[in-house]
Amino acid sequence: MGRLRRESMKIIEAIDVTKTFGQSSVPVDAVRGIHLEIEAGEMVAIIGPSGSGKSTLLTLLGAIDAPTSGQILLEGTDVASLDDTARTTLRRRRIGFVFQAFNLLPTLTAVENVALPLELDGVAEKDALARAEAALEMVGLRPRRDHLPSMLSGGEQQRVAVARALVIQPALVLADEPTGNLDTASSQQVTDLLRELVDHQGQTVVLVTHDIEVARRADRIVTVRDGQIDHDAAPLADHDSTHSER
Amino acid sequence: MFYWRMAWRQIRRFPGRSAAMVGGIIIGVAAVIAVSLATQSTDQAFDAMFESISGRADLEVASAGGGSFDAEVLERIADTPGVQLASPLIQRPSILYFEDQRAKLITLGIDPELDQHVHPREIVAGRSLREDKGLLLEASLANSMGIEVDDAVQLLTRRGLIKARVIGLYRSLQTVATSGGASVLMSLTAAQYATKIPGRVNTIQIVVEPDADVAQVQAAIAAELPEALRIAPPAARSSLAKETAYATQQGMLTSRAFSLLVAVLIIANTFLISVTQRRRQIGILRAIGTTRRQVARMLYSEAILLGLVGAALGWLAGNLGAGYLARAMGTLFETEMPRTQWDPMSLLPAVLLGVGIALLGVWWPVRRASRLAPTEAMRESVITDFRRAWRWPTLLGVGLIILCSGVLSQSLQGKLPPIYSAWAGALLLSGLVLLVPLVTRPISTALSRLLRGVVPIESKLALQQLLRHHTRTSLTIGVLFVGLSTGVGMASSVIDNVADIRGWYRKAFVADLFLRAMSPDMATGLAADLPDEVGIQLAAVPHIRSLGTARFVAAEAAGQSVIVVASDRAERSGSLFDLTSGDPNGLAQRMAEGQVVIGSVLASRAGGLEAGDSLEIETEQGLETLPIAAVANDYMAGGRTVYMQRDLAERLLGVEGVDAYMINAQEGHLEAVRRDVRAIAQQHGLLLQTFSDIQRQIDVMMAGVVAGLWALVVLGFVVAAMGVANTLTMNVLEQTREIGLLRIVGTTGAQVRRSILLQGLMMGVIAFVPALAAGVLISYLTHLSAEPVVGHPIPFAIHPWLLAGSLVGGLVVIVAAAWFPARRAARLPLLKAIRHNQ
Repeated sequence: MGRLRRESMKIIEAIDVTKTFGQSSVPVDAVRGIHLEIEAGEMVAIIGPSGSGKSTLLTLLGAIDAPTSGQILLEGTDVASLDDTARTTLRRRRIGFVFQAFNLLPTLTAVENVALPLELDGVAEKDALARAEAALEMVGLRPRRDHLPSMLSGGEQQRVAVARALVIQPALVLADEPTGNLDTASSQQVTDLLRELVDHQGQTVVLVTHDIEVARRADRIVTVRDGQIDHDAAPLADHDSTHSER
Repeated sequence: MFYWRMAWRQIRRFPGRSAAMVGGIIIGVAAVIAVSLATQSTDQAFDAMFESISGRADLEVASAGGGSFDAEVLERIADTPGVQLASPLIQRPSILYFEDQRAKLITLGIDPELDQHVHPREIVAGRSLREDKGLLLEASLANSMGIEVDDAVQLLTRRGLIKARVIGLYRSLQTVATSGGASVLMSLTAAQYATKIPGRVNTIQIVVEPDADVAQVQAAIAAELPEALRIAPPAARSSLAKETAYATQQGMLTSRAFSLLVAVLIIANTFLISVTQRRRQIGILRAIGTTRRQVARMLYSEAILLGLVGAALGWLAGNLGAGYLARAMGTLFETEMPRTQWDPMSLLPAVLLGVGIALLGVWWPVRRASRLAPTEAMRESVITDFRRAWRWPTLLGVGLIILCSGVLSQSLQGKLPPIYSAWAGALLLSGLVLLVPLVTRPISTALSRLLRGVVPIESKLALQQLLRHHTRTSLTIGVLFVGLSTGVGMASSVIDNVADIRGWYRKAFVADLFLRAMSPDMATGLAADLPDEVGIQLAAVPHIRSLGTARFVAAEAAGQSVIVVASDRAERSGSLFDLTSGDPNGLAQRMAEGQVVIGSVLASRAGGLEAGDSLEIETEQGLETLPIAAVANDYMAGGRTVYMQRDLAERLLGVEGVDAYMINAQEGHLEAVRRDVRAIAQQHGLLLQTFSDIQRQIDVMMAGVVAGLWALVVLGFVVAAMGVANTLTMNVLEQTREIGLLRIVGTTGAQVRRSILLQGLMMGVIAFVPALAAGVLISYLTHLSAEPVVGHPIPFAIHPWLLAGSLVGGLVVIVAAAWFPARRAARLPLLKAIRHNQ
């Protein structure tokens, strides 16, 4: 399998980003002056101990939350300067999310869950469902299109979540502990899937994980400690800090 | 379509919660539809009765006292320019007997040639009065009694029971036939003979030329009429009947306002629970790019769908309830009500109302849900800054309390219509509910401390859970508060009103025996004539200590339609009236001297008349001024009554005939008198009643409406139970993992069960103590706002057993509602519980 290589292009860039919680009482800096650049077609793993600020960083990169200071440039647009509606629209159109707890809507079938972001964006139901089926095909779950989440295994649910993230053809896929709730086999499947997306479709993926095996599949591993980037490099032979955390 | 699909899936996934919301909507819609249709039906019944008599007439000439007058005036009226025709009419309530059946109806004596232009009728069987002599009977009544053409029937008249042949059956081409307005037709001369008024009529009905001005014709005729006669449009006369039903209708409208409030609170509580449970889902939606507006649209779509279902079911329930209420009103006013119409067009306002209630109820929860930040929504638990979240609802609550207190005070002073007080009362309660969050924390903490000595673990756990979901707890307390306070308030009012009515009839109906053909028709104020022979026969009965008479006639006094009760009382005593103004001592003497006693509603409507004032009354001699001896609490004819001595009524209003005899027997001779009078009653087909018979009759009349109001009280408890069950189920669901952990570290199932039951009981105690006080206040305000309607203050009383019973009943209901969630919590499988939400 040959890897798809793109010209170097920054998809997202964090410039001196800080996020402080509890400003009125005891302020806590969850993220402190972080600088981070992610290129198109890269798979970046963010690791670090609990409370290190990695999930907060992911929510800032994903425009779910706004930084207290600094800039987040997604394809050149400063996310922090957008109002809530604009940030929401940006998320809907340019960022695909995969969460640890699968986070599918229990009342919708697999295909409907995948079609959801498209329908929210005003795509006609028929077109949305067709594109959702194609996305399910990509993750190998087309035969399970009409199943409710409760009828799918954990691994299958997470693959549906990946399909939902992909269906909008996002600039960036953000995954928060995507294998955290899965057994080893399912975890392997989901990691393979994310890797394939990067290799074959040039998709940019940023994932937060505790699992060093998952992190090793990334092109870069960013280690966050106490709200700051401690280490940013290609995977080495071992990452004891993460192992010890686990 | 997308939003509807999402909403529908959500509804299907949580059928119980959806049912609770639909239940709230049903309560609101059904209350509005039932009360509106029943009120409309009552008004229609009265209108139909008058239309069946007035027909196409534009104007009517009648005597000031409602009695008969010489028919010679007919020609002059007919010759007046602009008059197309003038048709004479005799109308008397009567009783028709066929085999062993008895029916109340109106006997109409008509000129068949002229009358056909006023009352277009179709002969559906037999012959018309132009072709034959006898009676024409309304077809629907004949069918219900099994009467056919050429059957012989008996009719009660002043000449006694007269036999007559039914020559035909008719159907009105103008009004919807109701047995309430059923009538029997006979020729004018036959009616004059039966009612002993030869050459006289009760009314002349006038149809005006199509191009003539009715007001001008009225003025022209008025100028020609003798002083004893009045001319007016016929519709005006139905106002008395409508006024009679006014007080009851106001009571129902008040209940409607409170039902709507309860409905909105149930919906708000249920939906708040529903969106709290979906907080995480909402977070996902927000994270993947759903805007606040789209979240709100999804939730509103759900509310609209539930609103539509609730409206349709509420419409059905409302129509069924309207049928019941209309029948109850019919019994109360002794009038056959028309069947309430299942009007498909009323579905539209019902739908608008249902959806409106749903949207109003979900507004606050939706607002909160759509404002959730994605990161906040996806967290396992949310700690809300309740002071900030409740800042403006608190301000709104205070504002509502101030505003509604002002409106209430204006309404109670008569500066605003009484219905304003109902709405202001309901909104005042809403204002109090909005302030509940302020007391939830301190009171529940205090309660928990009190209980700590008895159930230390359970009280701590219960307090934690209640405060964790401050808004939900406060709303549930609000639902309990409104449910119980409304229930107690209404129940207390019902008890006081019933006591007031009983106090009235115990004074008003004082005699050993009552002999009458029927009770006076509430709509016309008239009763069937008793045969003149009855008086003669009664005079001959031995051992009668005193014999009184009463005659009810319609008249105009102080600019109001009133019923004059012309009476020779059996007992000349002031205690016969339940006086609200005036001295009972020497009252009989003052009445004998020409003074009158007036009903409290009339006194109130005429600008607060009191004993010592004077009353202007239209008489055959023109406007007369009569001194008022006293004002009495009176429920007859809606309290718009004027009691006067018989001879005065004969002189002023031309009263003739008797509607009822009140008989007192000499001591030790009651049975003998009863036997003799019963023989007379049987001979003439009359009703012989004792005081307890009348008491029973009035109780039966009131029973339907009273039962309806008690149903509201029960509803209050049901609503409270729904709110508690909903909240506790949700609490247990959210506590699943925590309960699992507690069980693992050694908390017993019984302790878990007790902690859930305690949550319910603590909410109950916080709600019920102020609810009982608010219930008493509601009852007091209801009494005050009823005063302008019933014309006298209804004695207000606090009923300790009602309060204690409600408190105990309410706590029992709460324990019952909490039982299943508590049992579920105690029986949670441990491993499953600790994996919950992981």
